[in-house]
Amino acid sequence: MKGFSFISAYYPRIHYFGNHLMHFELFFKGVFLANKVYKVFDEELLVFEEKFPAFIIQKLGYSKNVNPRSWAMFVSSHFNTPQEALEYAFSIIDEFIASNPKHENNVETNLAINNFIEILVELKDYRTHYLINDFDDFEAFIKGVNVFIAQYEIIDETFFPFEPEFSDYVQRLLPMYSKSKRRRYDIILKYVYPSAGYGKEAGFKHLFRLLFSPQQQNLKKT
Amino acid sequence: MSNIVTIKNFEHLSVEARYAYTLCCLKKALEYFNLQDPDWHLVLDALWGFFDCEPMDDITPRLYLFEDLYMNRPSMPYYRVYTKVSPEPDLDLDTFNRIAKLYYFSNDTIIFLFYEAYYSFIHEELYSNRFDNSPGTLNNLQLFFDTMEKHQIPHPIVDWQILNEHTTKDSFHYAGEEKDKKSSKFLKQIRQTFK
Repeated sequence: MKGFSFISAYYPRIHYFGNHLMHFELFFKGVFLANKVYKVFDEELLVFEEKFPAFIIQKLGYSKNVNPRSWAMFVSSHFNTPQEALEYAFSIIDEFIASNPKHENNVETNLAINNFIEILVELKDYRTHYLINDFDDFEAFIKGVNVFIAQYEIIDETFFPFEPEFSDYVQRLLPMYSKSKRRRYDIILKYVYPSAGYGKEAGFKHLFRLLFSPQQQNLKKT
Repeated sequence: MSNIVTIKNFEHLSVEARYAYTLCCLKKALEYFNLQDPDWHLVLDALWGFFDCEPMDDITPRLYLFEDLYMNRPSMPYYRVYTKVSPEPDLDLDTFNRIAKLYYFSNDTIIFLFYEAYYSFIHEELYSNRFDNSPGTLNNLQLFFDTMEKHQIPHPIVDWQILNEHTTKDSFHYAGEEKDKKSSKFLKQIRQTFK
């Protein structure tokens, strides 16, 4: 038996862990630390530890089985700001497309990008309290996602459903309270979601989509 | 550091550090019983090798498998387990036989420690309590210590200096909390990897 390799010998099967990312992360962090504190210093593990963050995100980013919420929780535990997370997403997708030119503009790439969008929405939802109470950061995040969408030309009506009633409601309410962070937060939680008939998560997704929709972009320009 | 290791040594340590020590204990126990075998990773595959379903729907039969192996050792009724676990392509008969053999030639203590380290510690407590530094993991660790004491398994000799660097403050970061410099280091590491 070589060090802790008996524990980690299966890591090529990493994609199986998509739905239990937090456990997976803890497991390997424990293995890495054990490798050091028990003074085994398994070279294979030491090398893997260095690549671990990139490896896990690269693997899981393209898995259609990944649970976006798990992914978002993982990502949110590693980034100071949503923009950092977005940069991260950019770098991974760029790297993916660069290493797989044939995947450009095909179904698999779109799936990966959509996965990331879903993850970002989840990420934002997970950090709703933080983002809404820090308006600058929220704005930065929205701008970042807009860049992301523009860069990859994601203009998909099915992905950004425009719902006039919901849109109208949000547009009428939000500007009225935009100067008050706390009030803005309360509106979204107490009024927008229930009035639009959505739960918190779904409601925020729709709000998010509304903010990024081509129609909304046109409104901003005018 | 006193030679006597107690749960108090871990109250201020992160869940990662607690888990690392648990793994060291497991390795020490394997050495103590001379039961080291690379095939132990197959147990992990069998337990964690799921991916295509909703988490809890899918993990349940896996848990049955693990508990059956644990509860029914050493009789190892393969057929009974297979009647419980729906056929899965990644768990062939050869793999299952190797796991069964591993269990058969192991002992109850090791099987128990494996169960605690690889399933209970990671899954049960973290699922709900990680946001509060997983206080429940101290109970898991205590269970480990009790078992080791009962069977007179010595504690592993570890580098406490490294272990003590991993405190609860570093354990996990949450939305809205100010983070330390580790995040930037992490991002830098990622960028270098992709260059």
